[in-house]
Amino acid sequence: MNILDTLLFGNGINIQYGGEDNLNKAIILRAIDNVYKDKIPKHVLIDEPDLLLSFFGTLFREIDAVLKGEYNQLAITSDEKKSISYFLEYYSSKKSLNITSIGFEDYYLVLDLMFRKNKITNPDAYFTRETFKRFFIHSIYNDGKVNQIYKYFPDNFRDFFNDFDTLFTTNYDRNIEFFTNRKVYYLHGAFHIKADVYDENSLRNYMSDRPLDNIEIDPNYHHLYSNALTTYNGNHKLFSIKQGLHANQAIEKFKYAYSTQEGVRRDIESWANDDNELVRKLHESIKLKDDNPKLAFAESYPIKEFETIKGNLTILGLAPNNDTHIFDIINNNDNIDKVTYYYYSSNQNHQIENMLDNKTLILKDVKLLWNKYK
Amino acid sequence: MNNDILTIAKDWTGSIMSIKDIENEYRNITPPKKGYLYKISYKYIKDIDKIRAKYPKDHILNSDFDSNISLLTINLNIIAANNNVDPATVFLCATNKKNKKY
Repeated sequence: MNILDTLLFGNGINIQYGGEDNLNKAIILRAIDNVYKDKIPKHVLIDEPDLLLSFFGTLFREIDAVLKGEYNQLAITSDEKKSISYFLEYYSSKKSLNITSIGFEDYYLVLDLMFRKNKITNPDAYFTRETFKRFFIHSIYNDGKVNQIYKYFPDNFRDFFNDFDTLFTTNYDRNIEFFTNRKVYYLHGAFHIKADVYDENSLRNYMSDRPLDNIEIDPNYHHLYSNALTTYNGNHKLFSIKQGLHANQAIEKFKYAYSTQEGVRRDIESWANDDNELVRKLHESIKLKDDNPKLAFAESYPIKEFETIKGNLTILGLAPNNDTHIFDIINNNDNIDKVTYYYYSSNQNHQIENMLDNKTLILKDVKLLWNKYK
Repeated sequence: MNNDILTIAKDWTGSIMSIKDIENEYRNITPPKKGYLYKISYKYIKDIDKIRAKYPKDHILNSDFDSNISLLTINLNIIAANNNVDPATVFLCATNKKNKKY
């Protein structure tokens, strides 16, 4: 029987062939520069981008307090506590920091802690967080240049991909898809895939308060309506990734009970006029599903496919920071026999060994690979 | 060096460096580099004035001192990132008029 080979790749490929434009420092500086050069689509992001810049400055000035432990008591969930502990472990040892020294996803943690400190709740917190994320997504997209990096790949780099049966990525760009002309699974979404709320085929947009009614999508900035996922904590990413899947499983069960059990049907019917808006919406979605069983919330992240991979897995250009959920899934998958991890710095290897302690692990220096494909 | 200016340098730039290390880094920078950082900071500070000029007087960027400082934080950090120095050191270079002559 053939053993399946799967490749999981991250931003390391873009950094190797696309250069410094794809580093955290460049992403942050370009995000700021976009404001100064009036390259922020105000109608999509924010009317006055200068305010976003000022807020970013305020956020950075809080880092010193975070490092002094002044925010520790504001971390409530175990995920937040874990994230703040990682943040302190990683940044406390630095003698000097500037605004580009902080991983852009780590700013979301500081943002959430600041919201809690200042008692800022939804919808204000939600809109601020989403605007801030788009500020960085727009910078990563880099006027579409991020999708052109494959033009710098050497031809023989195709040989490397030919060794794999399936390709997964945490990147949002389509370079490998264009280069290999093969299907790529976008674990964290992609610039060309719409987020559930903007997907006209999603059950969400069949409901009476369909989000699309209040949004005018500008196709010139499609990446800002995409399902590209960015947050500071692996479990938060996993929650978003599985949201569509879990919503569909729940609605399917409700629909089954609604159509087969008279008592449940009566109960659900009574929710139509419930005081609670969420209950009313649940009623509406069950009815929609009952009328049209094909309707479903968009499941735009290939998590089921990733959780069921078998055989050998190779990981290239992917650092574990902020993506611990992926390493947990791999480590808990009994059908994966062997993992090959290409490391950039051997300093990371101890962390990788700990995260994949259930697996036969082979560590390889990525520089040897890059030397082969120059 | 005056401790007040060092404290302000830290607060306004978000620097995490110790006062002592900021002072040492500033002292160890060559005069031409201090002059360069002064000039480039001056340009960036002028850019903040241009931003403020776009808005009415009662706008938060004109009426709230802290929002203004946060814009300064951004600009001094850009210079710090591009010149491999601590942002507080950039602040010291920018605020010492003696650096203008270099």
